[in-house]
Amino acid sequence: MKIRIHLREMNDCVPDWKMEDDSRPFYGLPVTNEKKCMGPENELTELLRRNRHGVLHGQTNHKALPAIFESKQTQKPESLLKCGDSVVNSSNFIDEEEATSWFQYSLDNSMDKELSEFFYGMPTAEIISTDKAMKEDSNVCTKKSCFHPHDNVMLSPKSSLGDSATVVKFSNHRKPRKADLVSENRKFCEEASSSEAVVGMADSSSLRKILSSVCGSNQAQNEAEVTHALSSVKGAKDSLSRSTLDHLEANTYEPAITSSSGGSRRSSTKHGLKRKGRNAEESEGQSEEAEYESAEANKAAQRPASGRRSRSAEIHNLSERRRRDKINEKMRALQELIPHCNKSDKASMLDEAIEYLKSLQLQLQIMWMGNGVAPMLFPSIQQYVSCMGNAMNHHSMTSIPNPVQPPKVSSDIQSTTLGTSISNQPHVCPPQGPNSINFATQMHNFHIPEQYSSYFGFPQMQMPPQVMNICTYGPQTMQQNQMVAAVDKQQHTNNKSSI
Amino acid sequence: MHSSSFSSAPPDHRRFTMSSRRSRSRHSASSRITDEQMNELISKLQTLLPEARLHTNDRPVTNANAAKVLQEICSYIRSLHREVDNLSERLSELLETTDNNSAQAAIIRSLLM
Repeated sequence: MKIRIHLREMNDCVPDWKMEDDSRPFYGLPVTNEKKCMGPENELTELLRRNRHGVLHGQTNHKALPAIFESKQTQKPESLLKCGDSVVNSSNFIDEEEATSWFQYSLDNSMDKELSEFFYGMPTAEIISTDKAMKEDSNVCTKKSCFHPHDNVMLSPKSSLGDSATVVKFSNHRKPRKADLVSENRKFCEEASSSEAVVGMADSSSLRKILSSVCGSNQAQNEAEVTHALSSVKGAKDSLSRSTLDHLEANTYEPAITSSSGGSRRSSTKHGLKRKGRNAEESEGQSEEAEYESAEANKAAQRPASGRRSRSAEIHNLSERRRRDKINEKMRALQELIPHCNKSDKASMLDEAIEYLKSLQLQLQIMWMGNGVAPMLFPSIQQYVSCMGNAMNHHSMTSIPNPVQPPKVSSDIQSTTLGTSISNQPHVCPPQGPNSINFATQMHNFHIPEQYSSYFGFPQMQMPPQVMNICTYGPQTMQQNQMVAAVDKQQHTNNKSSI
Repeated sequence: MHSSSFSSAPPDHRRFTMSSRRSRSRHSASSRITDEQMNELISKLQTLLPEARLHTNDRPVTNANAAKVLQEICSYIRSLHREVDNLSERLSELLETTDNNSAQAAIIRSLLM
């Protein structure tokens, strides 16, 4: 992809970002005013801007953090958190270890001079996911949200972390050994604590979360290390950072907990430490989970064989959770598409979705008929024949004027009252009069669910008397007139005026 | 039958499910739905999809499938919306060309409104 090429061309530069409005939700791209921009990064900018809109649109409820975080430093953990979430949610696209190492580097390379390496290394994992995700709209948003940390990571001018871990060439070996990770973590956390940067603390905490959520218990040691550093760092921080941490923890605690079962007991006690300041609701439920986890962890530590099993169960749980999250995401998207859907539970929402979809299909069919038939109301004989042919095509769905036109609608039609009239159609049509009568009949025979009738308006229609008078009096048309009258009465009783 | 709230884990891992249900029960006061129920509903939705979008119908809807099916449903609904807009446009154009009092105009107006 083009993006990869461009990113590889990057050198030491920071893109020209500008600060986001405070009132925006945190997904907005955090940017600085520093002008160190350069060419190829504009593409990234574009992507990110597009991503922001996509993210804002598609995931409005997805673990929103409050917009109180003004400083660039605090935006970093948010985006990392978001990245953590998106990575957790999209493990199908990103290899877990890749994601781990990616995050590792994203945090370590928070220094400006290391941007080049970062960008150089980052896209490989990123682009893969982006490629795969291109086909699906909402997923693109999720994937591209991973771009976020780059901005923040690049743009922490105040971070006085100094020259922390050496940059491991991501491009050379994408799956560094865990020892490297641990050492880099430690170095990073130490420097963070020494510099008292909020970024550092939050980063290490989010790093720990991300690590724990993505890596699973194989990285238990790393987690323990990080949590050590984390707890030491935590002690020195002010309330703002604590609130940041709260939000981070509140959002990532669950995935973190589930994957830390392989870790030692120390990790679980660190979890207890971090529970300070958390709101009671979350902590209560999650402390129970922590206890479960620590119990599991103990068992796992004592019996390696069962530890392996519990680890695989953990991974299974993780993937299950990720799948659930994806499904919930899609459900929310579906809910947005359905008009006036105020249902909060899945079942009724899906029911409504089914009904809505059916009515949409019906509506479309009627409109197609109207489109083809209406201009032919008073045609010549020749036009009768041709437009009857058209109408028949629409009814039977054999010819699809629009590629989107659902062939399946024909099967649905069988289930509606329309089915009977359509099946009669082929037999009675040729000797009949104008199509208008058939059309009117079909329209009256449609039974659209009441709640949607206001959208479509068909059942409310009173067929103008002229149309009735047009019909030539064959036996079929007489029957149909009677049918129309009967249906009309029925429609009146059925449909309350929802105009 | 084990029931789970909107965002809880699958029934086999009861340990985690119970705690997660406890922690999340506050979030969703609405009725619980089983996995089978949901998969059934999603299968129904799948049957509504047109042939072109029905990549494999023989596989039953599972957790892994569900997201895909829901995705397809969403994009299908969006395309239907576009089609409705398109047709409405055409119908309104038609309306402009007909006599205002004719039956044809009445029909078209009813379609649009």
